[in-house]
Amino acid sequence: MTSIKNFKYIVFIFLAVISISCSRADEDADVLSQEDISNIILNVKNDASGISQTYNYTLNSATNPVIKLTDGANYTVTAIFKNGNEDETESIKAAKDEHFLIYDFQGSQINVTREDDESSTRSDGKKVGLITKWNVVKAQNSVSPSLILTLIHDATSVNESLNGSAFGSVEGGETDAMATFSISN
Amino acid sequence: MLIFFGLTFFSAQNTFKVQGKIIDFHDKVPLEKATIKIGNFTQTSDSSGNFTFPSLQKGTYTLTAIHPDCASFTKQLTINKNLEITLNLEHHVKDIETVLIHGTHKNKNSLIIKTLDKKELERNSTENLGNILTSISGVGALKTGNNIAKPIIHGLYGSRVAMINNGVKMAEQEWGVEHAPNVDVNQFEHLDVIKGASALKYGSDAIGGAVLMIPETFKKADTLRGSANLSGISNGKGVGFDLNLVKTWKNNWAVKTTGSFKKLGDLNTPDYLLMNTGLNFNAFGLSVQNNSFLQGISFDYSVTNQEIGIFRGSHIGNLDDFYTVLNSDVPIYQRDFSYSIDNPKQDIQHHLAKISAYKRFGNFGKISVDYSLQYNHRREFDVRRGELSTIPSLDLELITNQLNINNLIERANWNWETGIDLSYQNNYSTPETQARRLVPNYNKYSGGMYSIFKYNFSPKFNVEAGLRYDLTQYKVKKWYDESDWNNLYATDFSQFYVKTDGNRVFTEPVLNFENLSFNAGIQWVPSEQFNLKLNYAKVGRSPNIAELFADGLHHSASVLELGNMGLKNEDGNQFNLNIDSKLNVLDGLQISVNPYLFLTKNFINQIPTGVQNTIRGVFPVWSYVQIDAQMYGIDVDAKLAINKNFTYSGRFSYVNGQDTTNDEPLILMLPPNFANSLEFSKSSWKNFYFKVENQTVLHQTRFPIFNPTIQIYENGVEVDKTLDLSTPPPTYSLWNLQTGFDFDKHFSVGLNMTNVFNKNYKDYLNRMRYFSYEMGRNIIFNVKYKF
Repeated sequence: MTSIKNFKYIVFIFLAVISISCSRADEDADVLSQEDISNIILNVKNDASGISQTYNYTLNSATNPVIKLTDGANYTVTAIFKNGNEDETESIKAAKDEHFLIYDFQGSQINVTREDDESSTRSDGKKVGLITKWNVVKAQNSVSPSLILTLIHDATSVNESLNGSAFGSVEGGETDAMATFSISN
Repeated sequence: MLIFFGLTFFSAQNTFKVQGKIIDFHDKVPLEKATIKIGNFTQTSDSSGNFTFPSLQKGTYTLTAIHPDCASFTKQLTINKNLEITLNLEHHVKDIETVLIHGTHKNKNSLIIKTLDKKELERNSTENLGNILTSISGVGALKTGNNIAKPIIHGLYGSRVAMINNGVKMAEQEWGVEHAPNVDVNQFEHLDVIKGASALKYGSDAIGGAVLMIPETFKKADTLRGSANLSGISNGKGVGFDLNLVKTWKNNWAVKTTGSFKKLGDLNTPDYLLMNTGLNFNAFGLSVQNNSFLQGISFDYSVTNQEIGIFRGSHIGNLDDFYTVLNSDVPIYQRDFSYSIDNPKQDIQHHLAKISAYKRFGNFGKISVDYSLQYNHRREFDVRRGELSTIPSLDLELITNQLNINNLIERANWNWETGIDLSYQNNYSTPETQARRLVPNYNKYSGGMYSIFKYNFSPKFNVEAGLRYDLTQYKVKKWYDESDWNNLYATDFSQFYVKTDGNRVFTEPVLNFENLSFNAGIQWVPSEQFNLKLNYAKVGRSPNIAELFADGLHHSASVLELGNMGLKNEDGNQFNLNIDSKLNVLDGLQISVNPYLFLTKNFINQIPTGVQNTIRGVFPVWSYVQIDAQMYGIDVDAKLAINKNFTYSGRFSYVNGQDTTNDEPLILMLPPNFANSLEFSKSSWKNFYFKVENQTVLHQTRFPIFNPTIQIYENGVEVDKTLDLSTPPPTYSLWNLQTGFDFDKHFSVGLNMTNVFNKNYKDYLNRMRYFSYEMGRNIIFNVKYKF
């Protein structure tokens, strides 16, 4: 019988420990999703003139940024992802094997090649697409041309080649961020 | 068992007269045909319990009272004057032990109860609670894959169904559609399902019904016994093991321990494996008690620990991803069979400790006091970027204290139960998740009082009425996006505003809810063959924390869930009729029919109310709104003993739910379904049994249409595509087999085969139906050793 009674005490102590060990200091603290992205910024540099132009897509803004491109010109484009003031690009690079960008041009004739350096080249050899070279054949090929840029997370496989109107395609994965930019001459 | 012994003195003579009355201790009913011996004299009590010894010599005698249904009683008696004595014998001891040990309920009330007995539980020992209960008519399971199953009773689930674990109402974030009950079925002797809202004792929330998990009642004997049960599970290449040890003493002490372990790897459909659908489950239970009829004390502790993989293919980023998934026949995510459980997954720990005591008083009845403490730690891991993947995106610690004081007075023709419930609950969601809180931090204080009176007019007719009052207060700490706060609440709830930080607003809402519920019922038993129960309940349910404050993205549903602080109590009227009849067809036919009607004002329902643009794309927003709802349905059970060896069982259920405000069907109503089984059993063949069952679930034709439209580019042209997320899957029919026998006194074996023909099908109530088919054939083999 004594062993039973002892056991009771052990369980009581155990429960007491559970109740006490819950710290509640930060009950009032706010918490926002760290992996969320609030801005997708494209830094578009004209290779000939060396002039850079920045286009910032902000979540929930009323209008899309309009990227001005000259037919026949070449551009080097760097993609930057931000969550508020925090640069998420670095965390994308840190987890580069989980990420891939798809550049889908609707109504523009632009050829995209990926120019990522080591820091954003995946271990399967595929380039994430943070740095790209755009060869503009015809920026305005239809009424309202646009670029849909999609950041894909955790795809089972990725492919850099052109798929329909999109440079890059994936199997599986989910959309982490999606931005629409308008394009004009 | 004698409890109470009263003496009254009369005038003194040489020979004395002893007269008395023998009555039942706890309900004061006179006991007829009791044998009372004083020395060598014997008398028998008459129909009023009276007995008389006209002439006894002065002296000391041994008095013995014996009644066929009671434990006998002996006491020394000195006679030196005329005596009038009252003997209190407890004549229900046997009844009570029989009822509790064998789980066959006297059920003398108007509640509609269906029981899953020990045999059913033993035959399905590797199943989870939600899945096991689906073998009761009118009960379904709301599933997320196969390892997460929540019971649905008459179309209602979640907070609307109370899970009562050994008398304790489980507090386990039950508002979540993908939050399954945290129990180990092997710890219980039988399961009772109370259909409908009439069980006011278990709270006014339980408008759908209650699931009562009842542990074993021990015999008073000096024994050590136990069982070990090992199962092999083909689908998921799993193994299950449970161990059960009971030590009892004659002096009413008992100690019981149970332990369970279950492991499953990736499950498979007939055609492919479901990546990341494994399960690790373990549970432990300890119970120490000293219970007699008169008084008792017990301490119970149980813990369950679960790690549940969620099918990888169900984690999607936006509606475009959803469209892609819906249009691929085979899941994109595939891997070779594995036991590893990766993200997305759930990791849940639930502790429950309870101390309870009761004492029966001759006049005040049985007073019970139960205190319980529950700690629920739920962590949900999503597919996240880089290092965040090791941090849960939902991490909730819920601590619940409950105190119940209950008094039950039993008399010959009536009984009266009154009680008080007090509870304090604290929910804590750590900011370490680095993800928005789905539900906020809060304290919940609630108190309830109930009183239930039952009166038997005759053995054929009894009535019941109950009243319950509940008071609930939520004290919440909640951050809103400034735009949401300004749009939705700033005007009406400005008193809760605390501060603004950037574009976020901190608030401290204090919400009070008050509820009055009552019920009335009759039971009419005109003959052995016929039993009618009718009950009416007026019930109010206060909104739960998610309905009030949910704020978050559900990855597997691609919806944003939004609570509504302005919600009021639900206000419902419920009618339940149950007719049981026994007919002399072959060796006996039992038919049970249970039609019901449920009309609710302010029924809290989740419907799409708009879209929200997120960085992942556009999502439909599902908000909690209040509508008027009408539900009706019928459950039918039939059991026919064809002869001594063959038994047929059948069940059917239908439920019809309608949102009368918007004039459209309610979502996720159990489709019409029926099951028929034939069992052959022969006890002389070592308790051999063989059961064939067919289970058919019809296409649910009544459903609301909430189909989002997305824009995608096809060959350079933007086109609208509608995602059909509403249409329920087609009718399916499955065959199951069950067989087993006792090897000897100690060993028994059993074999279960479900989905025998390895059929591809989808279940409307499984939230994974968009992403995959249900499990294919599963064979479970188990060996049990009892001692």
